[in-house]
Amino acid sequence: MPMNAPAIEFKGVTYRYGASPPALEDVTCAIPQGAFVGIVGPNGAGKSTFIRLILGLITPSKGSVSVTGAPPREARKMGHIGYVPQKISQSDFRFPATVEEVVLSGRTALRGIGRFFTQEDRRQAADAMHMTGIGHLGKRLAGTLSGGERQRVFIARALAGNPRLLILDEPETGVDAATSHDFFALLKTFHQNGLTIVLVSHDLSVMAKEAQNILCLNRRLIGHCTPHELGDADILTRLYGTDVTFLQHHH
Amino acid sequence: MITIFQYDFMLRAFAAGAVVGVLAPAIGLFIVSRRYSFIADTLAHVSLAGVAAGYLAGIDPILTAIGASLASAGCVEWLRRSGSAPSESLLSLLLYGGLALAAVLLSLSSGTNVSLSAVLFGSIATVSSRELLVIALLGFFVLTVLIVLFKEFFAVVLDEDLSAAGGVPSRLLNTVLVMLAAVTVSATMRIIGVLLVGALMVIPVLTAMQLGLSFRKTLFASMAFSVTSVVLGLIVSFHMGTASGGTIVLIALGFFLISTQAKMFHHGGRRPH
Repeated sequence: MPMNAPAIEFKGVTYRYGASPPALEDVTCAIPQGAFVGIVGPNGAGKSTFIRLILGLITPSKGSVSVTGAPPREARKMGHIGYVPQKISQSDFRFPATVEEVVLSGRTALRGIGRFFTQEDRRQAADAMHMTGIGHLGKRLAGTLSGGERQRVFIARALAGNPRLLILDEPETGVDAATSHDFFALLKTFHQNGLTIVLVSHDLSVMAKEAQNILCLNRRLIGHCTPHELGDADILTRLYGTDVTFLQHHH
Repeated sequence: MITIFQYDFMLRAFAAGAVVGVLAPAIGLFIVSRRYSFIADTLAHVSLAGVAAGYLAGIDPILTAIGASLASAGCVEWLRRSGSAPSESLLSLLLYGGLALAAVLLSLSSGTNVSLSAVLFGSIATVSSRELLVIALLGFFVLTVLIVLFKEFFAVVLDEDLSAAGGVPSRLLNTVLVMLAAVTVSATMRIIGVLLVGALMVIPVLTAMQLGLSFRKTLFASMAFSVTSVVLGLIVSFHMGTASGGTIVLIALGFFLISTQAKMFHHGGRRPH
């Protein structure tokens, strides 16, 4: 990985699903290494498409995406990307696996096809569980945990591969306020240790409180701003297409 | 009980039953965990068309069933990725297509010596030495691939996008898994019958899942429930003259009911997680 390469770089990226209008159009941006960036936008703004492009699950119709200086598919093969999807904290998760098994599966690609997990893989998985505070839950079935605990399981799974970049899709969905508070405190610890964090959310108050920088997306890149600037009426109008007032609660 | 082992055809049935008893839930666990249980029925119905084509063409029906189910497995994955309809609807489409083709081919093969009941519901008396060898080879092949790719299949059925994001070739592995399911269906239908083959892939897995074990232990428990159901089913079928497939599946269902009751009792009547 080039030392000074951005964690994520979009150059003139357009993506369209089939013959539909572009889900993203001419997006150019760079997220530096070690940043804690939030991505906000209304439903249908292209946030999920943005993530899928970073993960290399889809390729741009136009333009290019690089992650840690490499094409996304190469970056993910090297284990540079950790990903925590939105649906993970859903209550109907009934997958028959223990927490240990789920976390260990985060090292699948690193170990390579046809090779069994080693003691080193188990140690890395145990470290990731310890870091996320779920070391004592290893033998429990993931489906029997609360939404917040399960969220930590999947963060541990993402961290088990020692990624450079952690992407979280709507992590506050399905968890209560106290759990959410603990969760973001945990994320800040990882960020202080040098991990680049990209957080996607439609909840502006979460972004204003947690992220260092915010990227406003509505099919096109509306702009970058700081959490303090997020309440700017002009940005909100451009983002949501109508007069919006952002009320932030301070506790 | 001793007399049952004096018959060569029963020894072959037990041997074939042991193979499919291990094989069906081994694939079934991945299929059920992926919430794709219906695919076993779809592949079985398309296999029926393969069996009918085999009878009509004078080719070993297991081989034509494998060909048909592999083709339909490829079709399922291709259609699923094309996004032309929801996955369940695509499976229904193939299931009815396979059944319709089977009905037409079976009507054309009316002059041949086809036992429809044996094909649909399984028959213990008609497993030849050659078929036993084919079933054993197929079982060895599928289990070997499952062992080699166990951790990859686990990651893919846990979440396809999540594993792809982690660098696991999810699409390819999904296709391989469905292909293995197709081979398993073809190997299993001789004992269980086309209409019930999916049951042996699903019911023992659901039974084992009631025990709240790890993924790996659930795999072994579902194999134990499955093999026990097959062995008991064959014995009952032999003594009572009933269809082997139906008898095996009813016993497997009995284990499922016992395990759900035991789970409820264990949780003191409360709804478990």
